Amino acid sequence: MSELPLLELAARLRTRAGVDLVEVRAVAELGERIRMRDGQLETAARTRSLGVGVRVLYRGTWGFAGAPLGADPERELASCAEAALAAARAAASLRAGGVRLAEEEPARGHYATPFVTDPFGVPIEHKLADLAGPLATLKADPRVTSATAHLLFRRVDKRLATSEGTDITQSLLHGACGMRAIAADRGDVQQRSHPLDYDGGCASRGYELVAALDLPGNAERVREEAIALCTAPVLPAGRAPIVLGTEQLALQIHESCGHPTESDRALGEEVSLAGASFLTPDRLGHFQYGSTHVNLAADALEPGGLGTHGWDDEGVPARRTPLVQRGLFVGYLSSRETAARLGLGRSAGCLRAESAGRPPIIRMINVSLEAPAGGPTLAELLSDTPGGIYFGCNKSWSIDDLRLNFQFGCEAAWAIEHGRLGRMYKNPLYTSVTPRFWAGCDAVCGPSEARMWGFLNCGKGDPMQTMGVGHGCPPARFRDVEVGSG
Amino acid sequence: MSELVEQLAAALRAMPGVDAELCAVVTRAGSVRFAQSRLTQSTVLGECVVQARVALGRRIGIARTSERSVAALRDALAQASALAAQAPEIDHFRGFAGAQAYPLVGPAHDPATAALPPAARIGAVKAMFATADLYGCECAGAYATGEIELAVAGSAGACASHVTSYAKLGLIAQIGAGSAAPSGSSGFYHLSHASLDATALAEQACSVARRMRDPIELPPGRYDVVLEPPAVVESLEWIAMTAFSARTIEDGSSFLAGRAGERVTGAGVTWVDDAAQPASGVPAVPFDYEGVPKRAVTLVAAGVAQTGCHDLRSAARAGVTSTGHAPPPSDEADGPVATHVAMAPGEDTLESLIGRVERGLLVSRFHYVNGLGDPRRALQTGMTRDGLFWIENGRVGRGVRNLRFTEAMLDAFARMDGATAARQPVATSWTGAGGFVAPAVLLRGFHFTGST
Repeated sequence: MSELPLLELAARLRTRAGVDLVEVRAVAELGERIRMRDGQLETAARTRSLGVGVRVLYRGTWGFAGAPLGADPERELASCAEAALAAARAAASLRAGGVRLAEEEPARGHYATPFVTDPFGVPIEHKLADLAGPLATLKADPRVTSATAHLLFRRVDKRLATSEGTDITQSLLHGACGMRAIAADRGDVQQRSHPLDYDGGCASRGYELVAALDLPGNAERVREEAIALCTAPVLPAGRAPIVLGTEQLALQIHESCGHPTESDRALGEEVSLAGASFLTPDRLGHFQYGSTHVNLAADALEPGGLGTHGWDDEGVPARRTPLVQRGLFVGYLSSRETAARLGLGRSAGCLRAESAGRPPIIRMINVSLEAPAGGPTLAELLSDTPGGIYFGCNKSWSIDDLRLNFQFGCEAAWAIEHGRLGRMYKNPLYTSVTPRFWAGCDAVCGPSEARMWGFLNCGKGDPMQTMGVGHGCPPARFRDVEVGSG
Repeated sequence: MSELVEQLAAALRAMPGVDAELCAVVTRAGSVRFAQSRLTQSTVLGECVVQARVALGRRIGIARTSERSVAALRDALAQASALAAQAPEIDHFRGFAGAQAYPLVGPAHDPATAALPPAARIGAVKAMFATADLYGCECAGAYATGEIELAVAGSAGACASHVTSYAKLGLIAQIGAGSAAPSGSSGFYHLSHASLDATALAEQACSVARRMRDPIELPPGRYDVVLEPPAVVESLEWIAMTAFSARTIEDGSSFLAGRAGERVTGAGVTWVDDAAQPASGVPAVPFDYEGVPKRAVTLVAAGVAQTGCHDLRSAARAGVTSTGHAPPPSDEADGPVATHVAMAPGEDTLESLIGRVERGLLVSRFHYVNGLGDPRRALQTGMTRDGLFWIENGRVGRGVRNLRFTEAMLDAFARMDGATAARQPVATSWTGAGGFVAPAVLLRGFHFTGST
């Protein structure tokens, strides 16, 4: 990638009449996915791709083009640049323009995800063995109708060169691993996953992630819980204090804090697809989002998150931006453009693209809930929550187009009895409205209980893009929440 | 044969004796995005993914590349071979697809739509902005056009290529820019842009937005509802994802599992996946990503469970033949997918459905539906948006503030009391070249459980 004349192309295109800024981004991706099901190999796949994306600001209007790079990369680069300029020129003819950007120093340098073991150097048979053992444990009972285990690693090498003089390279490594059992018993079908459904546990780490997730040590529990859920009672409808396990709280943060603090939503630019936000600019610095226990920040410097990097895709360095402080809404996820529009001073560094072929848009980086020093352990929190319900491991999620009314279903919930988890319930759900819910947050566990989670497939944009995002959090408690079952 | 499939075949010829399949998907597209009647994004995209699958006996390896030169394809085949050599044998593999006879399909491609320049897309958007101005509304949405070329070649004899085009527009009209601005929506999906009437679409969305001013509040509860086609399709997408794949039938999570021949929902409900002869302008596709001919699959007939969709591997496990529903090449692929689901029409008009509602709601569309809560009942939850109206004594009245529903959709469709004869194609968010087709329906006693 270093041999591609990206900087020269950006500088040359910048000299064309009306061109204000040019960004050229080359991305090479290497991926490996292994999935096993019911003792059989389902998929063993390697993916390689190389592409370029060019973004041009022409008379205050953006144009973007993306293309794969192949046999004649210099010609393909030039063609892509012309397509981006043509797209911008066409757009400039209709109620566009006026884009201003917050200042940012041109960047130079290299960033690489730290890791212990290169996953692409681990033999396939080793990986298969790491999945086959837990899978056999999951399938050891005939009531388990299906068991899957999988791992995925992706290395994304990218270079960004701009007409402002930025020239940076990054090598980002993301991994995921998990398992799931589906059981059928006495007319019902239920599932349990570890540590989460879908991609499982996701992080910016090397192959050491697989051992850290301890599939073998959890397989028997997952199997037995899946079976037990089939005959478990449903969660009775009512109101109760609830404790969200850290894996469920991560998704709660994602949907009810991460998305509504995206500044493009707040400015109405996402309304046609995923919706807008109740956190409108007039509320910045004035709106009480939650209780004083609630401190949330966007931070691309947090180790191990899927939003951890050196720079975003317009060359803004990784930084930390408070979003909610002592419950007060104080910040947005932003880009250079939205930072300028909202008068934020500088970008939070959140402009990211799924691939070379997609335009960068505002995305979460790592959006995390602060674990207060001196906060309780989970055991202490459970002891202090008589009559409460503990929710773990998400199964379904839905939230309205302003990010207010939400409903989450989990694989299982437990009654909190005598300071510990008691009776297990199936098909549990809880529902509320975002500020009301976070206002009821009256306890957040301490740092020893905090954990960084990641979601690989956060969907946004049109054309649709998926993105890896991180969420660090400990368990937390919320008062007087409507609960029930689906 | 297309140039693309020739390239695939040439790469295979260059590696004689290798049992392999190559599948290429090449997308050429452009889109414009807009909000508050201002362009925010103008994009031109070219994408290519080629998947090589190599079998060494019953050991299979997969490699994908973004490059389509013969040299790159040979490299992918070599990588897939290396992976296959390290993979364990699988029990159910009957080989890649051989030479096939593909069905004659309906219309699929319009060259003018495939090559539509940015200025033409922007021209359509300009017309919508002008119409919205007249209504005092602002527009948000996206308009995308392009083509998707699919080619499959295999050492066992499969050799096929096909191109589909599409024009896809989603529009929301809003009055004001506040977070709770009254809004209405409209949409267009067709293989050709020729019939897109930007002015009419803008009028439709703006008209709904204006009628949504000063909405009333309703308490949660059970209401008779008329769901317009976009709402029906959003629900049907989740049903397809959780129930129509042989994979979910195998693991027991589908409501079709073990229930073939049983009544699972209302007698007026028939759901069919037919990619070769889709209705209403959805681009037709003759074969899947394994080169297997697309077969029409009746999933639910008059409320009675039938069968699911198969790819080669699930068909081998079940001892049947593939129905041609292999997924696109992707890390996320997980078994067969139904991409062209159509719901059978009824005999009503939208007006006649509304006329049979004494007290109820007209639902334009849903938002953020999730159908994973209990797929055996097709349990879904989601919100209304962009048009929810009170119906009283058969007449549409005031707008209503958005509501959340939580409903077992098989039960809800069991209470279906009519569907329109007219159906609408709707682009789905995850089906690539596919699209769903649905009528408007009247469902009695639909369960709303909350509000914003």
